Amino acid sequence: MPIDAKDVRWVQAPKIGLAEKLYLPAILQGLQTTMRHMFEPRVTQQYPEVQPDLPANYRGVHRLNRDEQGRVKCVACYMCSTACPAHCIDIVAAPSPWPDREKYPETFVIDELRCIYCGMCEQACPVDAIELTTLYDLTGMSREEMMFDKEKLLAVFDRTTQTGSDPVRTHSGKLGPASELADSGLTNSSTAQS
Amino acid sequence: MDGTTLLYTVLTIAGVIGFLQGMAGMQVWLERKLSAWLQDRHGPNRVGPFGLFQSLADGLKFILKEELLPGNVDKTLYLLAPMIGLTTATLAFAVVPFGDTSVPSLGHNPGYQFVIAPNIDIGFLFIFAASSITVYAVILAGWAANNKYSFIGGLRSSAQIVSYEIPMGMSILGIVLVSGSLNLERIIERQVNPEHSAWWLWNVVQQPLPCLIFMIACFAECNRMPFDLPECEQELVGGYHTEYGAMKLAMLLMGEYTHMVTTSFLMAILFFGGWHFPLIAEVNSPWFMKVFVFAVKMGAFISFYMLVRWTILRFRFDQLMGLAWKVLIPMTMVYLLCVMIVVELDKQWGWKNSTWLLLPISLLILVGAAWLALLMPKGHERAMPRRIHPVEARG
Repeated sequence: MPIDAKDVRWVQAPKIGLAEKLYLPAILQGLQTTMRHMFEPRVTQQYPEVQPDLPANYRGVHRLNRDEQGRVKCVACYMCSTACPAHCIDIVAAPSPWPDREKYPETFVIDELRCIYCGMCEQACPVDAIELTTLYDLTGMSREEMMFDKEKLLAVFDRTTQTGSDPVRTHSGKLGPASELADSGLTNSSTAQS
Repeated sequence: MDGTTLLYTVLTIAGVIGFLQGMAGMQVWLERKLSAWLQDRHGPNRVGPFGLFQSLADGLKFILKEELLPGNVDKTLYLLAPMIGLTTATLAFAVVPFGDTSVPSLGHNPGYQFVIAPNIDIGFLFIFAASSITVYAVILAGWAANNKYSFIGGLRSSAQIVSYEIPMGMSILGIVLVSGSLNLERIIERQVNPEHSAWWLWNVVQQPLPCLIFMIACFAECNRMPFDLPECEQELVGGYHTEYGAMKLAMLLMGEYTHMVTTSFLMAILFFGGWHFPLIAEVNSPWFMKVFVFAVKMGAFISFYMLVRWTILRFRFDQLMGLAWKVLIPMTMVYLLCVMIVVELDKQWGWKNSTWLLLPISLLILVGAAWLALLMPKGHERAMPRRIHPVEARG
């Protein structure tokens, strides 16, 4: 629909004065700004002498958490491998040797090269078994080396919790709500449902 | 020419060529470091202490790269262009003093003069002529590359260089008339001799307008920002040196950096007193103080080149040409008229130190030109007057 003439506001660029037409004052001001930057501190981080300061929820290499007794927390429910968009998690479940859970992963392989480090597995896990750490400088000499199996993932856990850089961000020791034996009275957990 | 003079000249030539090639490497390092510091970065700092060996690494890279001769280029011209570029840029340095020179009026005649060719009375004209031939390098490089973008880059660059040679030469005429000679050593002498100037003052204080115009023209001659339209990457990929790689590109770039060194020296000599510095390097100071002062001045100007690169926006080509032809050339013409009048005041009417009049005249011309530019309506309005008149912006 046509616009009313009274709704239109015409504007004009501000007029140039003598000082602006000379261009020299503006250039000197610009030179001052540039010179000032020369004496300000540099913002570059000198890697690798200075390592970057990563937030705690940085999505790096995965690890499998252990519980209070040192057993692997994972109950092989396949939620992480179902959620994974890159299909890089491969689990083989087996009956658990411990009484407080039904299954445990016999093998748990993540292909770190296929992984897109999106963190969906971490979000999907009901027992907080898989987490992404702040380890970012992962290298390997062969493709086979980069397929992390359960031992390697647990080793990542051991290393990162010892150095204190990646504390376990979940309820430590207790199983999460997905464990169906939580309210059966066989465990020591106090998360019994009423 | 007797044996000693010949020996001195050959040694000086060898020294100067070594210095210029070395300066090209140093300038690469300095450019990268200064550009980084101005952008809150560090610059190269891995290759040596403060990254000083970075240019060595770059030089090695240029030497070891594969020398290509593309199939679609005009072979003779393609190979000729970098040669001309480097040769003429180095040739222009033949009359530039870089240290102690003779000052006959004060009785100072050193045995060895720090010029390759001393006492050339056409000093500045020779430099001007040699740098004019560098246009050929650009045109041939752009043409031989057989490539639309290089061609446009070469065309723009040659038009730019040729247009800015005129203000460059004309602004110096003011200095030449006042000093009485084109010889660069006489120009230094006039600034050093306390009889002609009241204190230790240099030409820049008596004549700031030619200094400004010469500086602008030098930026344009060296294809440096804000006039680097011929070689900017956003517009023309690489401009006239797109098709060049390895050593041929290095030669073109060395020619450009040598040009920067030569014009820095010229600015120091013509306006900033050459080797003179009030207390540190007077006429009777030792030669190394004079060389040192020259080096510091040259370094300051080269750093200024690099500082301006990251400060001022690039000019559009029509703005560039408009600046040369519509602004700088009329200003230099009016200024030249004033200089002629002032020099006559000294000669005919015996008005001593009349050259001091040039200082207010310079400022008046500068401000007057800006004021005149404000009075004139814009180009497109003169062609077709506007029918709707917008209101003033509010707020």
